[in-house]
Amino acid sequence: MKFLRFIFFSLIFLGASSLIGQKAYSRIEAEITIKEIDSTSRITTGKMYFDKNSEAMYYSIKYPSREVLVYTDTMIYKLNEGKVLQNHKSTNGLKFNIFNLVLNSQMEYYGLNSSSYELIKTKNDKDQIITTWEPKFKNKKYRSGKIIMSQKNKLIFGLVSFHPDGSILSKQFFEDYINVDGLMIPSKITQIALFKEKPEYKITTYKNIKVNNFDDTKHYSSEFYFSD
Amino acid sequence: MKKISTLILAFAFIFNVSASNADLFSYDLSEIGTELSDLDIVENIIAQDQNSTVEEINTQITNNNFLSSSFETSYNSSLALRAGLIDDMDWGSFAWGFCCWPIGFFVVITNKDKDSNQKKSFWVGLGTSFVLSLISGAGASA
Repeated sequence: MKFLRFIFFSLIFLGASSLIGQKAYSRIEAEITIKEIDSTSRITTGKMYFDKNSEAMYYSIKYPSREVLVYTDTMIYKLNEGKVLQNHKSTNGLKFNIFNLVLNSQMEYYGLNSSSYELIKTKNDKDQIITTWEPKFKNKKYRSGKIIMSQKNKLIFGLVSFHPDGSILSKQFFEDYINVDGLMIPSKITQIALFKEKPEYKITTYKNIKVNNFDDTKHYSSEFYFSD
Repeated sequence: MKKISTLILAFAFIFNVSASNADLFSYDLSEIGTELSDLDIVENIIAQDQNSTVEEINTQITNNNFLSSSFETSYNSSLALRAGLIDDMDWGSFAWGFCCWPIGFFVVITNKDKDSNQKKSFWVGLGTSFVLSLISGAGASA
């Protein structure tokens, strides 16, 4: 009986200590560079701040023009000195944003396991695990095709989106992972859009990534919501 | 003979499947190598001086001799483009301003779901209607 009691209390103690040991992440920031090549070449540089709790992503853009943009789940705001200059309805939202997925520990399946897609097939291929995802609901008006995902070392490596007719729409590659305070974050994302006549390339890189910067009050503020 | 041909077909199938997966998760940027190295140069210019204005950076880019071709510096940021924060006419809101502004005022201007582009389009529609009515009024009186 004593032994059972010892086991019982040990389990409770271990469970509680493992919960305490889990770190909660709510803020992330990084320097961002986006290089785009299609019929022209463009570069965008700046800094990005994301707070999971306020559900807002703040971009302080340095080039090609100095501007501040804030993405929320439903709206996008252009700010100047904390005042809203312009707003626009957002259709993309933050659900599949890389930093939202990272902070919510959903990067392993790119959030697909909690989306309108379902896992159809899993296959091992050398150093990769290949999974195939298909839409749960077949909507005649807004048809979407399957997604094939590749993981290496439990980290997402590639994502290929298909048109319902089977042709490839786009490819995304997540590379150069860095460990930031226990979070594995891809510092380079390459996107290739293949639905146009000529492929379009977008390479996003993140530098100086920081998590849980609670000293910064300016870039994580949500005061702009009420200034309109 | 049949067995050999079946075996060959099976091997061909296996090889094809593994090759298609390898192709699926691979990419080649050699096609855009020149453009990428130009963008690397531009990135370095931007990163060099953190306190430079956009105009100063643009001058440095234009005067750079290492770029393989001239770099177009006048464009919208990728994030603003993705956000749709580029002035686009919303013809529905324009029509409210142009055809029926008293109701349109409540449908567009006082509606919190309408964004700034839609509100701007309403005022453009109202302004156009006002100018056209002035011109037609002046024409009729002449």
